[in-house]
Amino acid sequence: MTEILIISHSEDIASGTKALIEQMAEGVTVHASGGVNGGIGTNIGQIDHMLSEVKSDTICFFDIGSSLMNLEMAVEMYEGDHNIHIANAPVVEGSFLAAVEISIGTDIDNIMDKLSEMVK
Amino acid sequence: MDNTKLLHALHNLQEVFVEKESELTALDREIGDGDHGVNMKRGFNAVKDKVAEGSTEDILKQTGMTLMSSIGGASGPLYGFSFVKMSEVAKDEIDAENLKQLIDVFAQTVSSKGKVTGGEKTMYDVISNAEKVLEESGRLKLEDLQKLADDTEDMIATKGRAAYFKEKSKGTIDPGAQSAVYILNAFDLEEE
Repeated sequence: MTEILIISHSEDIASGTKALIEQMAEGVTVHASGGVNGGIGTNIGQIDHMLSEVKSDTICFFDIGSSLMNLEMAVEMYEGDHNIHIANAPVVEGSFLAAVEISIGTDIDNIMDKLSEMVK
Repeated sequence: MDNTKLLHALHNLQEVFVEKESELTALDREIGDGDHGVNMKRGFNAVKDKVAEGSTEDILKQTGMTLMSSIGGASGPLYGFSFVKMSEVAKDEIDAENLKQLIDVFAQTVSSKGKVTGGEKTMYDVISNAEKVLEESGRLKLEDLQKLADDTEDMIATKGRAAYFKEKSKGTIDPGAQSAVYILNAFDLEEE
């Protein structure tokens, strides 16, 4: 089943969004990480770590500034067996929509299309 | 430049960034958040500690991974990822032709990952023009690279945190452009 990955500048945003999704779409796997050394920021290491734990094709969400850059670099260096997609949709709304779609069995390409629609 | 010389040059950047910390901090205080000096110092301290002997490819890759994990903000990952990408095209002995390829990959990586083109007051203004310096002089001399960084002084930032300063960013050399001068200078092939 498709998994979700969230990278935020803030630990609270990452864990809060994960909690929201897990309550609304039970059974969907969400990897979330935010903040660096107890402060605000993102780094590639934490994204690498999450990617090493995914067990299926995954849709990634990011928040502001350099989180996209770090995410793109981590995905480019990813050497695992799964397809990793980056969604441009807002982190809370986008990951929530993706989780609901995953839970009702929508395939990943369709979900990516719906996520692109959100930012048109 | 063989692997031993390259490792020496990269380790030497630790001393360079210790010496230039206050200069970079002063520039970044003007048009950023003031952490570029300490970030670069931290990054190359880690490079000196962690990057050990190996092939040219290994050394560049290790340097890249170390910079990515030890420098915050956008510049660490950009420099780090560029080193990783450069490792993929590096030959055991970096000659003038190979160096041109490395700089080309460096510029392309910063452009694609940093989403920059030229004239936006960023490190890219130095890295992308270093190729021309190399073609003209066969070297990456400090004074020639410095001219490229000086050119960013009158530019108005439209990328990165400096963009929030808009017109006020004029009159200060971009800190990333300045640190790029030192990094590129480490690849200077000395005259035999």
